[in-house]
Amino acid sequence: MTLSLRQIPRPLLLGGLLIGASLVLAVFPATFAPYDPVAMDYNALMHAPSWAHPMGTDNFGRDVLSRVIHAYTIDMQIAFFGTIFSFSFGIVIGALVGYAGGLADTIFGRIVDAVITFPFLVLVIAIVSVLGPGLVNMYVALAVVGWVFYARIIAAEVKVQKRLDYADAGRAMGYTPMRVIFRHLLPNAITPAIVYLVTDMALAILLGSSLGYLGLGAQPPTAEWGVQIADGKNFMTTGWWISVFPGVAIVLTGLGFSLIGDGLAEVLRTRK
Amino acid sequence: MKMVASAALAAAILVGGSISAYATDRGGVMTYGRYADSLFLDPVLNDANVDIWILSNLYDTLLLPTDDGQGVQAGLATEWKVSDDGMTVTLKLRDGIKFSDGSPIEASDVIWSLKRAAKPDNGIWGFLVSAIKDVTSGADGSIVISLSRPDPSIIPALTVFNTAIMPEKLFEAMPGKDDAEKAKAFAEHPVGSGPFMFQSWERGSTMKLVKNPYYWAMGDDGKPLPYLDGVTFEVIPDDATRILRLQSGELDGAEFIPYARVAELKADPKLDMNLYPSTKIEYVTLNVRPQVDGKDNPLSNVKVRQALNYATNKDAIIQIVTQGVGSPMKSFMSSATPLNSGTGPLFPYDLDKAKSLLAEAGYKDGFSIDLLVLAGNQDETGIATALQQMWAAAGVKLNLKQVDNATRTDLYRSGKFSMRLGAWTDDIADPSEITSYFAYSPTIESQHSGWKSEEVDKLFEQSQSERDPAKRTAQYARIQEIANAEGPMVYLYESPYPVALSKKVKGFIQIPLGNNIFRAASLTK
Amino acid sequence: MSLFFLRRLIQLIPTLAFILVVVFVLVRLLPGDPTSAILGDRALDADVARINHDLGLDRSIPVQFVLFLKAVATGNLGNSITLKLPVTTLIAQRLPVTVMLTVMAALMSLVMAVPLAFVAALRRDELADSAIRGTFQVGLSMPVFYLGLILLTVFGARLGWFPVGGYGDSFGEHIYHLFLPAFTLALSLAAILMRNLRAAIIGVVGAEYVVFARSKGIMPGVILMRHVLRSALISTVSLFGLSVGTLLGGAVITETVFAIPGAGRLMIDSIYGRDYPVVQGMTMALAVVVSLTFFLTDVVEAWLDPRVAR
Repeated sequence: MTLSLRQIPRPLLLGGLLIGASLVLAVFPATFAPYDPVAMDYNALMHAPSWAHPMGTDNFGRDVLSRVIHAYTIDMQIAFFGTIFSFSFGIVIGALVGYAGGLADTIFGRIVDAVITFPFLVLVIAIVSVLGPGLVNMYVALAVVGWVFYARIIAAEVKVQKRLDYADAGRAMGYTPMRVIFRHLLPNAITPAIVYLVTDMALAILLGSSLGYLGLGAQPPTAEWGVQIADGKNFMTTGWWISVFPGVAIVLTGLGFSLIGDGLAEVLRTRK
Repeated sequence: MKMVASAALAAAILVGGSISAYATDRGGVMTYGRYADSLFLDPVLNDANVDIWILSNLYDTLLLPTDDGQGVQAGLATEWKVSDDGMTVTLKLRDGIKFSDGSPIEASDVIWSLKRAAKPDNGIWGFLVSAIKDVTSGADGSIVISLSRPDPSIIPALTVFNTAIMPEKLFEAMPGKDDAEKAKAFAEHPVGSGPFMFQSWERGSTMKLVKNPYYWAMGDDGKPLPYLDGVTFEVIPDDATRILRLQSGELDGAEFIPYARVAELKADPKLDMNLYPSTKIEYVTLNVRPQVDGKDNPLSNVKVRQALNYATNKDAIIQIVTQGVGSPMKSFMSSATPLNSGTGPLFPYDLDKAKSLLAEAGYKDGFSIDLLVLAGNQDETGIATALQQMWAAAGVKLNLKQVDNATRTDLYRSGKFSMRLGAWTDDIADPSEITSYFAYSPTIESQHSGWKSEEVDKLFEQSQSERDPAKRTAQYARIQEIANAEGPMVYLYESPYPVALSKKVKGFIQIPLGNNIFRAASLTK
Repeated sequence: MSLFFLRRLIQLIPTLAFILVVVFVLVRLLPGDPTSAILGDRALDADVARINHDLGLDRSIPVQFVLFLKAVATGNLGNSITLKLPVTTLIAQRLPVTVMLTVMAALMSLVMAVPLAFVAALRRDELADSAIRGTFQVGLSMPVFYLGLILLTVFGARLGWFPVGGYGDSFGEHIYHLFLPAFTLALSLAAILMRNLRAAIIGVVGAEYVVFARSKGIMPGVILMRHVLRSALISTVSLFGLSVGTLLGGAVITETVFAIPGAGRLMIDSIYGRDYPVVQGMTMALAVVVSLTFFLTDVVEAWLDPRVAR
């Protein structure tokens, strides 16, 4: 089934545009950034926005605009790799468990409990301490914990869905459980997980900033919005531009993701 | 070394600090915002600055550091004398001194406290008083400390927190099978003879001290100190929140103001932005062993170390990280450390010289190396990011490794690091502490760097029992000459303690050793 | 039904046992040890060895674990290495603070999210919808420490409506002091809940049984309450439970910014300080509280949809 342009929901279109533009910046940052994002200019420390530096310079004399643009590369990566493993693994496990029920559900329940009750930051700091800080290790930590959320959402939905008539019909027609699960139940149960996924993408970027605050996120001199905001926090009164522009980038990207999420939810519902 | 104090130097002058035409207001509770809470209020068994820097308000010592952190003034003892052979110290206790519970301070308390401090394997500060062999009481009630060797730093050592005088009977009456357990119980509600006494402590949040009614020193109005009715410490780890709380009037003072905010707070008409001279230095420690982790180590070559020093634009770092309030180092020890022999900034920025030194050392094309940085510490990440840029110009590729403190300490202590950032403050007004850690190899292999100079080691050992101040000064001058030129460091900067106070606060000081002194602090009404 | 709850409670035991083992091993795998963390750069080898011996850290991990289990069996979680206090005392001091913060945040997020989700869903794609979602999106996109600082500056320092951080001395003061931090936490939680609930409502409203009910002339208000709210809430409740659980362990940044002496802050300090007994005890205590939250979530889910409880 194809959609004509007019049938594409407006939020999806708008979100697609925002994220599309972000992706362009993420892939070709050097084309758009006026300066080298890590080059310091000791003669231009903390300059306010001007024609030469539209978003000003930071306390190292680095061009904030160039850093915001280069950060797209890193932050789009975080949004993607920070969620995709959790999502794929989580929905598969969730669907299987929700369908099987019984013992599988009980065991799954224990695993979920153990993973979620384990304080997340303890885990992240432990992983980072053992493997060293950096984005890859952040992805590992996110995947270890994140899948559970998707699995639980899907399992709850599948549990309800499988009691509906169409699932019985599928079974009655002799389809294998796998086919019933992945062709029939999952597509119907997946909407909340997708809505959560796009929220989660924005959350992954935010988590990057929290970890930046603790020094566990992207490593200097890499430009990353969260770290930029964390670094700029001390200059909120004397150099607001250091933290505000990366903040705007986060908001726009987050908005893009959630619009896409809403739009996708709409499309998936229509397809049903 | 001979030192005699005159009793006339007592209370009024030494305490007043600022002698103003106006009488100092009495009363009020000063609320002070700290970045972290204290951990353990035992003078001997504590291990951290968060304890050390406030202990003197609770526990008094025989002698006190002067406000410039370099000298010594009378405390619980009014007179002190080192014998001509340097083997005994005799001190006369002040008359009528009492602990904050009103019980008198006896010679036995002093003897017990000093012996506890000097007991080997009791805490980690024993090295400061390792020369103490025995403490006895003279016929006239004086305190006699006999030493195992002449110790030129014994007098300043008697101002250090670990020699604080504690009530023996009260301590020994605590439950517990040994000293450590008793200390735990005692430190929950400590009793000393400092200007304030302990009232309550909500861990991680608030500690309340109140005026000790039995404190001996007199204010400039002729009545006993302190002027304040109490001091309340509030723990506010986030810098921005601490400042906000000060600006909203909920605090009277806040420590560790980020340098980025100093200029702004200086302009605030309601605040006094103080930059107290300190013994704090920031530096890079370089591992100089021939191999690190099985690989050849370029830093083992002294020319490489010097090249990195020349390639470091200290003025730019001072501007970036401290917003200009720091100053370049003149020696491996701070300018506020006695016997510092530095004359001008070490290794002024000279990229060409750096490049030619690297070429001479056989690293014309540079090399790549790791630097350990404390995760989440803005000063360190700032320095590291700047160094990365500066050294890249000389062909040295710097990889930053952010780690937490325990990890870094572990790598440091085992010598499995190439470079690390570090900060240091002295605990005693004497160069021996920093020198023993930084340049004298037997202590911790000169900052665990593997650096060793026979001459420095020999000079340091001589200086540790040198009784002639001139000779000791010369020994230290030579030690610094060698260590500064060849040592395992990149010298960054010295920086003051940034403390912002409400304009109402008078007479508070943080001395170069870091101690927060509230005894002459007052709140103007 | 009650059997379901009983079973759920018994299931806590293996979960907690698993966490206990993992945390015990994990903290010991971290580089460094409590002694070097406390003593710092100046520690001499002899001091480190002596203190490690005194703390029993020079024994093998299995031996330490057996000793630890023995102590736990008698209700003794050990003493904090840095703070020299019993871990149970620390839990009693710190955990209630974080629990209170989280409960306040959870309530605030519900109050914000549920009504607005309905408005947004029922006025879908209209101005109200866009405004609500836009506002929440901005709230969600702001790092907690940044949002917290702005709230503190505006409502604390400038307007003086709330204290600038801290926790206060009485219950009333605690509530007052925790208002801004709870709001900070609540905003992102509310944003997530609102999005999820809005999507769920839109899904349910379009579902056949609601269309059917409407066609039978049942009043919209009744439809909302009976059918839409109930069905839409299922996945939201599940998400809510999960998020509140994470909040409990993750309030550390809020606690830092607002200077609240809570469990999260203690936990981070203890990890950095390699204070094994505190990390172990606190993890267990948090796990119990989080488990209870999940248990309550399950109860609510079962009430909303009895089929879940089987």
